[in-house]
Amino acid sequence: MNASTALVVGGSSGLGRALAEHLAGEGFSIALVSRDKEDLIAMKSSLETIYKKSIFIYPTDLLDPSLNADQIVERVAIDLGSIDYAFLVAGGSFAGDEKVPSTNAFKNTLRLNFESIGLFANALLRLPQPSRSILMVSSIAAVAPRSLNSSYSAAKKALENYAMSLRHYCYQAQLPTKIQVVRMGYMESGFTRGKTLLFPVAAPKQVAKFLFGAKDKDYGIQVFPKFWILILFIITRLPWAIYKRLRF
Amino acid sequence: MAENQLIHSFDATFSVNGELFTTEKYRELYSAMSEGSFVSRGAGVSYPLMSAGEQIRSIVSLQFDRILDFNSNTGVVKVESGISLGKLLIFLRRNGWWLPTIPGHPSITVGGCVAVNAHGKSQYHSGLFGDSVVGLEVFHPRYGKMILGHQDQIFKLTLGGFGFTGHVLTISIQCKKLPGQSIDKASIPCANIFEAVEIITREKDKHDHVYSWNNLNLKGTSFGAGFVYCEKFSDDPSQDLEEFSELVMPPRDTAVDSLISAFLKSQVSRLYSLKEMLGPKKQKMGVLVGAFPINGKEIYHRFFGKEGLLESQIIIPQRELGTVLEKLSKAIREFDEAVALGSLKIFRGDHCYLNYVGNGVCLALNVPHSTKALSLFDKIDKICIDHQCLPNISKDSRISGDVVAATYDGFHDFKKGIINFDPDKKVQSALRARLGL
Repeated sequence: MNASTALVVGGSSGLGRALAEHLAGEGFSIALVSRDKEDLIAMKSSLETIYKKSIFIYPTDLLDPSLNADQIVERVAIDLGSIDYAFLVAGGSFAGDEKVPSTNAFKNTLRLNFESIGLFANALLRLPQPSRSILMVSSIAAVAPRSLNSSYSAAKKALENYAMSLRHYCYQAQLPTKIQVVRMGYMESGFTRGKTLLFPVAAPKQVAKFLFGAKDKDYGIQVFPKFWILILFIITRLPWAIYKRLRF
Repeated sequence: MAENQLIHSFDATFSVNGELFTTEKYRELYSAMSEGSFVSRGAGVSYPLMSAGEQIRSIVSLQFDRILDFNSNTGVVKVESGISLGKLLIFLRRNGWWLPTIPGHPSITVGGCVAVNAHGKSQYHSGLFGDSVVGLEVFHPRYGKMILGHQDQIFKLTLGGFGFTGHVLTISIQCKKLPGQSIDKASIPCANIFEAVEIITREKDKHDHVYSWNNLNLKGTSFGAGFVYCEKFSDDPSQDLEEFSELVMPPRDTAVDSLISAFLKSQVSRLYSLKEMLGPKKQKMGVLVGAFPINGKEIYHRFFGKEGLLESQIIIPQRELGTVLEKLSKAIREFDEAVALGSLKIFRGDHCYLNYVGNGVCLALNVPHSTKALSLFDKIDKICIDHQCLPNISKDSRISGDVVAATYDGFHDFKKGIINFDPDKKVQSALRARLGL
């Protein structure tokens, strides 16, 4: 276990930060990809000080249309020696992603939540020594679309779909990589802070622990926290006459 | 992420409509400070409202809580300002080091300790928190990121400067070797406040921490009877804390709070006295248990309900001690309500700007917030001015700029220094408005 390596895309804040801390605590050598160099340097300094492990950082703007995920993943594989696990947890919503989203919000949301994550997954599968597991984070919004954050839920739905295609491909091509998606309920973040929500909000540390535990499973799509399974089951079976009236 | 909301002082006596801005990205942090007025906010557990103001943006530092560097040979640790004392001390203890100065509760942030230049249980031995700070990184929109050391004037203005010089990003602290694996604590009964002073003075050089609890509700020759606590580090191991309790934030206005407050507000002193009389006179405890005697007793603030409490903390010069304690005893008799807490410590050091430091005996008292309490505190203000006592700005929610100007030698120099540094007054807070700075 101590020799394991992991790549965290979106590793300087929120869930990615909690995950990086958890992985470092478990003895992993890790590589962090995130936009801001200053945040990444703080993460590197902190994890190296506390856990005495080498941390590699790659400042990368996932919204950049010229994003070259292959190049980054190849560098990470060289620096770490291998990428045993990949956690592609970057994501988020943008102002203007409501009703009919603004063009920028629409493009950025799809790029951040689907395109860039998909590109990283592709790059990981192209490595000569593929990862043992690639874990992506989706949202309950993918199952229950609504008038708010419409491009976000569409991006997450696309991500789930694409991930399951890759999962099927890995099986067919006899690759050792497990492709998994964790469909997240509410989690503490800039998007939930200060809002009154109907259901409990999970702390990033809780989610990170769950993702870590899920990394060697092969369940395809999982839901966390688990109580969302029941809620999603009910919501997806509501007739349109009722669904269209929901304000959530 | 910004939220507009009612923000309360921790003593629950004052509130403002302000904006809490929380982020964990440096880019967003800098950007949030570039527009309008702001003030930094840590855990928000200072009694007065120092980290918020009416229509002011409070920049919450709690997400910036990383240990960035630690030299296990020299004991210098560099941390982000939002780290709590509890988290830092767990790390330091594991590595055989310790903070020289440890203020009251584990949830207090290191940035907060810098902002008020806090003291611990033993100011006499270890000075103020800022005495062990060897470096700061401070962001101010006018100057950008500043890297500061002892030689810099802004460094001195930042220690105990209530955040007026900008947002403290990182703090480098010279730690000391962990003095022991546990703390031995002895309780010595004292017949009155004068005896307490006598015991504290006698024992201060024989122990690592010496402080007292005094019942200020007792009259005549029993005024201030209570216990003096003498603590010393020991090498024997003892069970210690691994995690800490959380403080109950205001407004404490639930039905349970109202109930607790209605029945127990006036009984706090009696209950504590009873607990101490029945409890062991000698104890061995883990270093973290010893560092934070308030941890686990967070119900204390609920005793005061939604009305809250007032704290006064003053350093009384030795030469004025007799007169001041007599006057205080008289004022408390006239107050005719229960004082919830009285406590003494020995202080020493030279005055500097608005730092709470001086030579003498530090007396702290807590009372439930009421009109009578405000009148008592006005009398304490007068005592301070008449007898060169120093009131602690970071404890008292209502102390005025005039009283501070009359009691702090460094008031005008501090004001001049801050205005020279930041003529636009980008940093604003309820405290700054109250003190007229």
